[in-house]
Amino acid sequence: MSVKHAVLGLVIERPGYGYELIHRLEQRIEGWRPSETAVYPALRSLRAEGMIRAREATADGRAPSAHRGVVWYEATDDGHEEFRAWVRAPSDLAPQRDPFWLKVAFASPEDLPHLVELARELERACLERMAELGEDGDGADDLRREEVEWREIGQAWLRRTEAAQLSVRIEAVQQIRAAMKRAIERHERGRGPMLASPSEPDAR
Amino acid sequence: MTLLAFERVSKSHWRGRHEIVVLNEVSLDVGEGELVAVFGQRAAGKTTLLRIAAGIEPPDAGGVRFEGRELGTGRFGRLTGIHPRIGWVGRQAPFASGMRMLDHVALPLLRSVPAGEAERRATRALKRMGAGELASARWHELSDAERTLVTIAHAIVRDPKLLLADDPTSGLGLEERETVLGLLRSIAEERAMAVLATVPEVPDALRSHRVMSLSDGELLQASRRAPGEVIAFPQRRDGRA
Repeated sequence: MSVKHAVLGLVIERPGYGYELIHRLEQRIEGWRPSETAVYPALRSLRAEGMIRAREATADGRAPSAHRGVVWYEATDDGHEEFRAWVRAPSDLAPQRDPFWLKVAFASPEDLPHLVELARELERACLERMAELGEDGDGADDLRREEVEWREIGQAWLRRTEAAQLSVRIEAVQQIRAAMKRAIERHERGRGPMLASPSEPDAR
Repeated sequence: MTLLAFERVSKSHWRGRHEIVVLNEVSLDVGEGELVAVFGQRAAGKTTLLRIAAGIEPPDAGGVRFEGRELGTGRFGRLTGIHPRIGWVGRQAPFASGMRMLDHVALPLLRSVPAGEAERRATRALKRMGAGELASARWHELSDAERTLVTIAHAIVRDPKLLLADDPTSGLGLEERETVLGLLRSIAEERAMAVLATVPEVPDALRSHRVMSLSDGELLQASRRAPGEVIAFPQRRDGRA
């Protein structure tokens, strides 16, 4: 995920400082579980690249209002341009990065009962996340209002695509859970050569 | 208050000599004012779950309680079939095909209230579903979405405490699904009714208060939160702060 571009996008929406940006980032792309520690390096590198700059002090030479001592960032012209280019650049297909499926693929028979339990936990986590998404909810009716801002629609789709991905994950996890349970049953009945553990050297 | 409670309910179907475990020690409860969505793929046992909740089908093992009492089966006769304070939203067409929808919706009331009153309540139920203009329409003239709305009106006309909805969103478009689930949620809240709805797709569950999933006999649910409880964020699944 591109924390850097997310942070740049936030600063373009309105200037902010580190802690405030972390907070806004979490609100906006909650489902991505952005790491707060990624925000400061992103700010540093954006600043080094001239995409953002520390906001100038007010006329009397002091930092704005109550936030003395914090650095406010605003986007430079380069920053605006870079962000626009990024929005228009082609998007790659995101790679599959869920370690659960690697575990499944490399599991040995004795791992399967644990993976069945892991699959349940994963499914519960997905359901929990669904419930959270539902609480933030947005109605189709709300989005059809004439005066609705694009940002609201875009934000809603961030949630909806996450819901769609969760849905696919839940179905896949259910199916693999059933498949693993069958494999365990077969294994227990002493059938199913597919479950011969590859780690056991059979020619001894 | 809990209206419907399943305690370790099990149910198997037999296909020849092959046993299919549909529900494996399933426990759940649904409270007043709550819309609970159960997601499950085709043949996951969703309808069986609802039929057991309605008392239409007995479980093989475990207990089902409605309003704190054990829910027996078959006590209400074959025609009425179902407990008077439980409403069922299915796909069934009206009793007689040429009926006006107003009469169809009023039908469940006719044994207990005079015709005029039944008609008034049916009108109210149709209006509540935003389907007031369908009162004199016939079933074959309705779209799938309109049929769903009429079916829900038919199910709520007796003011049930528990509404069981069998895939009310199937066959509907995205916006229609949202409308139907939004209505189910708001009638649950305003009437302190419990709604247990099955949904064929996970995102449909977004409008519910709680989400559960049914597959391979197992019912999984997210841990329960008090309404309005603040959810700590960021939550990291790996336990790191």
